[in-house]
Amino acid sequence: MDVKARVHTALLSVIAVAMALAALVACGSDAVDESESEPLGQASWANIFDSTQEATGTAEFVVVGRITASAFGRDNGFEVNPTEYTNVTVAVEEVLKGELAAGQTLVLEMIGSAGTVWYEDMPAFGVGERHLLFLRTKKDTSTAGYVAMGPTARYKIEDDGTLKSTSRAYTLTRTMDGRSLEAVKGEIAATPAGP
Amino acid sequence: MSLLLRSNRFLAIMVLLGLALACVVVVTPILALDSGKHWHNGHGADPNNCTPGPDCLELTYNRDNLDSLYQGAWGNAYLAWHGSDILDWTWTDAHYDQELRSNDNGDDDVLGSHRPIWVSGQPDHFAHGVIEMNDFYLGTGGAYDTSAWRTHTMCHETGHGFGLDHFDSAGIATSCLNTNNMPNPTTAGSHDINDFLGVYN
Repeated sequence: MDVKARVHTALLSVIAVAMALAALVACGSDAVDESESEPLGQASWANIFDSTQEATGTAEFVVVGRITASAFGRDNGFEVNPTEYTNVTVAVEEVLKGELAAGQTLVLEMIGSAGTVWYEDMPAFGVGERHLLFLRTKKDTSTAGYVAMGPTARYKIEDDGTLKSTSRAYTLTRTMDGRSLEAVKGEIAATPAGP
Repeated sequence: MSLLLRSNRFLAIMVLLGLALACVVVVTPILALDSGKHWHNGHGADPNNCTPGPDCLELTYNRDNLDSLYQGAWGNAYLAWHGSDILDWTWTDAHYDQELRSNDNGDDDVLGSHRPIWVSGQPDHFAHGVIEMNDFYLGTGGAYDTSAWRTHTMCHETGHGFGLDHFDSAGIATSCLNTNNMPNPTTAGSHDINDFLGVYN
């Protein structure tokens, strides 16, 4: 093999090694990202809706609102690994069902809290975000007055007016993903009032 | 010419190898998403019960804070998963892997939950877990106060305790991790068992 060929081969070898190293670095990056993830719990939700009509019919209130605050609410009293809850404050922009008024402020309770554990399909609400929410009054004595009824009852409203769900695990969350808020509002309005 | 051909062939092989390696790097984490949470294969396994390693997991459960109302549901969940012959469970008051407990957590829309506690520095590797039943719904007088709901929820959460995820399939009516047929599935079906094997095999 002449000098030119050896140089050529050496160059190609360097390229191959560089590609392998790049791949390994990418692998290492993934590992770093993973190590920074928080523990994610899982829950059995009391309400899983299969359609907008079912969610609307079951909810006491359906609103469009903006999240204005999110803060630790309570824990369930166990000394070790208590279940923690977050209180989410919502400024109501539009009432689609129920006796509420635009401009009213609601406090919702959700399972999970910052710094400990959130639950799959029910991530933290971001302050400033707008959401379509299917709600009901809480029937216990905690400080929050309302509860969002699981992952099929909350949809973030994107800037372009489409809905984004928190999960791909349920029929309704999959079908709502990417739909326009206006179209869904039409379905909500057309849902007959309950008995 | 011959050298050029050989070089081009060498380059092509190297590129393909690089791409293959890149594929492994990119695809492996995607595949791992479904089975990201897990115990060590053969965790705590007693050789008298099953052969430590794949297909064998031995977990200990503490039930000090589980109301007796749920004992039937726990027994059913034990049979549902243990019947698959891939698990061995033991109960203990001292060193345990999972805490089973019940409590009136209030009207939080959650029937039951599983909370993982990771091994330090290993974010999807269980060190402990807490499985919790919510008396507000499942307890006496609650809106879901039936044996079927308690059994479904217990089977469901213990499945999460192994690291298994939800799935949604209208065609599978015998899996307690299926979110599509609640509350009918009160046992672990073949889909659940295959998921388990997918995590631990």
